Amino acid sequence: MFKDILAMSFKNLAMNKMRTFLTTLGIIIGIASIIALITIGQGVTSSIIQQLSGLGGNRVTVSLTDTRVIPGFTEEDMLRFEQLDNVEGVSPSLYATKTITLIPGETHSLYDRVYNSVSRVIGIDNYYFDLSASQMLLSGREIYDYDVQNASHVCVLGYEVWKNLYGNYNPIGEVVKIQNMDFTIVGILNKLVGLETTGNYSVLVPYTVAMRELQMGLVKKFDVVISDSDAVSLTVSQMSDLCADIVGSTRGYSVSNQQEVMNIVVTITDLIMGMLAGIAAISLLVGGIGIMNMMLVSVSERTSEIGLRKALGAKPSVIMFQFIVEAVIISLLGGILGVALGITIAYLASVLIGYSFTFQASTVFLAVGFSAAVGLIFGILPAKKAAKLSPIDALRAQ
Amino acid sequence: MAEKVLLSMRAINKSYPLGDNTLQVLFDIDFEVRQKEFVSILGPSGSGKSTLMNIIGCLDTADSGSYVLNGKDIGAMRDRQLAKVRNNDIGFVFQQFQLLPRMTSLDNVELPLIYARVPSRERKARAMVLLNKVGLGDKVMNKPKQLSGGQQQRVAIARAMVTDPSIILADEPTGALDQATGAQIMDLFEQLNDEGKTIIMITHDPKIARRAKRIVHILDGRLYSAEEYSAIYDEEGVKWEDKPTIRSRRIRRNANV
Ligand SMILES: Nc1ncnc2c1ncn2[C@@H]1O[C@H](COP(=O)(O)OP(=O)(O)OP(=O)(O)O)[C@@H](O)[C@H]1O
Ligand SMILES: [Mg+2]
Repeated sequence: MFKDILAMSFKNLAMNKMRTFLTTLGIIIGIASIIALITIGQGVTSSIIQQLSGLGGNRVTVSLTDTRVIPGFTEEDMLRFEQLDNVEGVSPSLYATKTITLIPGETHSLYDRVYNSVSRVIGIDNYYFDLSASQMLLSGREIYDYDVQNASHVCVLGYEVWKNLYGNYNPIGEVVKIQNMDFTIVGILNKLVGLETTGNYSVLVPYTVAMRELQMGLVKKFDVVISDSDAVSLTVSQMSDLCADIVGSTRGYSVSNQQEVMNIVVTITDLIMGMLAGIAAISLLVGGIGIMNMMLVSVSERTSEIGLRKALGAKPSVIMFQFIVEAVIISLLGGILGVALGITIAYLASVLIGYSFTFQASTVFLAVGFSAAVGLIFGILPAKKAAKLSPIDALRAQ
Repeated sequence: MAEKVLLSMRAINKSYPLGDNTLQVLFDIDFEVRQKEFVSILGPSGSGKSTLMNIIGCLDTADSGSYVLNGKDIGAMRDRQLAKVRNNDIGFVFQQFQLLPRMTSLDNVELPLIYARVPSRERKARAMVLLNKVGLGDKVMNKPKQLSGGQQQRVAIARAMVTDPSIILADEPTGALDQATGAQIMDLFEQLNDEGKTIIMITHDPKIARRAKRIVHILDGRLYSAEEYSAIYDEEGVKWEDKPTIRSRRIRRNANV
C-alpha cells in the first residue's frame, strides 16, 4: 500500500507541475543557499588553513608594535632567537616602497623607454617560500639561503608585478634596477590567494640585501620556526622573555603563534558562515510555510476526493499519511534540486574566487534530511486537517 | 424469507445541531434487511433519506439506537473500524458517480482494493472482471471525462462491487441520468440482485423505487412499510384523512350557494 500511496502522490504532484515547482522553489532557494554557503565557507577556510599550515603551528611571529621603544631588531638580535633550543630558524621580513627602473635594451619589459615603477619590496629569506603548502613559484627558482648569506642581487617578482611589467613575457635572467642597483630576476610567484596576497604586488629580495644595501631599516617583524611542535608553548615563553630583554620593556612587541591566528580565522569564518546559514535557514522556513500553504489549498480543493476515499475505506491514518508523503516529496525534491544548485554555485564561486573546491557528502545528506524534515513538519498540519474531515461533509462539498 | 438477517436497526434517532437547538431528522427507525433482498427507501426531499443512508453506510453514527451489520455492532465502533467496515461490507453508488477524475476506470475500480491491501496483480485482475461484467471491458483506460454518464455510473457500480461487499448502497443512482440510461442502470442492479447481491437503494422517484422487490417509505424522518404507508396515504402521497370526503364536498357546495 505504501507503494500505491507513493505513486498516487507523485501522480497528484505531476498533475499540478507549475504549482509544485513554485512551491518547491522556496526549498530549492533555501537549501541551495545553505549548501553554497557551507561549501564556500569550507572551501575558503580549508584554503586558508592550507596556506597557514604550510607554516604550521610551528611558526611563531615576533613583531614590534611600538617603534618608539626600539627602532627594530638587528641581525644580532635575531641570532639570539636562532640560538634558543628547539628553534630551527628565523625568517625576517622587511617592507619598503622602492622605485624599480627598467632600462630598454637590458630588459624586455612592456615599455620601450626608461620606465620607473613604484612597488613594494620585501626582504625575505628562504622560509618565505614555505608560507603556503601550495606551489609558490610559477617559474624560476626560490631565493636560497645562499643568496641570503652572500647578499646576492637577485629578486623574485610577485604575480601582478610581473604582469604589469612584462605581460606574459618570461623575464627570468633579466636585470632590473632597484634603487639604482642591478638585480637579476630569478623567479616569478604564483598568484597567491587567501592571507598572503601582499606577495602578488611585491618584489622579493634577500633580507640581507634589503637591510644592508637597500637601507630598509631594521626588522620590525620576523617568524621563528620551531623544530619540535611539542615545544611550541615553552619556546614561545622563552621568546617572550628574550623579547623583553631586547626591547627593555614588557610592552611594544607581540609574540604570536600562527596556530592562534589559524584558530581565530577558523572561529571567525565559522561565525560568519553560521550567521549566513542562519539567514538561509530562514528562507527554508519560508519555503516550509509555502509547502504548508500549498498543502492546505490542496486539502480544501480535494475535500470531496478525501471524502470519497474515506467512504471507500481509507482510514484517517492512511489519508494523513498520503498528505504527509506529498509534502515530503515536494520538499525532498526541492532539497535535491537545491543541493545540485548550491554545489553548482559553490563550484562557480571556487573558480571565480580561486579556492579549491571540495564538498562533503555529509553536507548533502544533512541538507536532504533537513528538507525532508521541513516537509514533514509543515505537512503535518494540513494532513491532520485532511484526516479529520468527516466523510459526509467532504462528499457533500462539490 | 428464510435468508439470514444482514442489517438490523432498532430505535435509531438522529438530530443535527441547529443554532442553539437541535433538529431531529430521524425518529425511532426500525429497519431490517435480509440477505439477497433488493429494498428501496422512497421519500420526498428533506424526509431524511440521505441521513439514513449515511448511518446505514457507516459514514455517520446515530445518536441512539442499535445498529448491527453483518453481525457487527456498528454503534460501538470508532473511525478506524468504521473505515474497515465501509471497505469490506459496503459498496457505495452515488448520484454524482464520485469517480476520481484524474484516474482511469481501472484505477477507480481498484481504489477500494488498495485500502484493503490487496496486492497489485490481484487488484487489476479483480477490477477487470468487474469492468467486464458491467460491460466496460473496452473502456478500462478511459478517464471519467471520456465516458458518458451511464458509463460512469457503471464504473461506479463496478467499484462498489469489487470488494464483494455484503450490501450495495445506492443513493439516487439514476438521479443524474436520463430515463433510458437510468432504466439500464436499474437493469444492471436487478441482474446483480438476481445473482445474489443485497441492494439498498434510496430514491424519491416511485417509478424507480418500484424496480426493487420491496419498498419502504420515509416521511418526516419516520419509516413505514408499504402496507402501513398505503393505509395512511393514497397513491399521490395525499393523506386519506386530508382528502375531501363526499360529505364535506356537499357541505362546501351548500355554503357557496
Ligand atoms: N449536516 C446537517 N446539519 C443540519 N441539518 C441537516 C444536515 N444534513 C441534513 N440536514 C437536515 O436534515 C433533513 C433531512 O436531510 P436529508 O439530506 O437526509 O434529506 P433527503 O431526504 O436526503 O433529501 P433530498 O432528497 O433532497 O436529498 C433536512 O431538513 C436537512 O435540512
Ligand atoms: Mg439526499
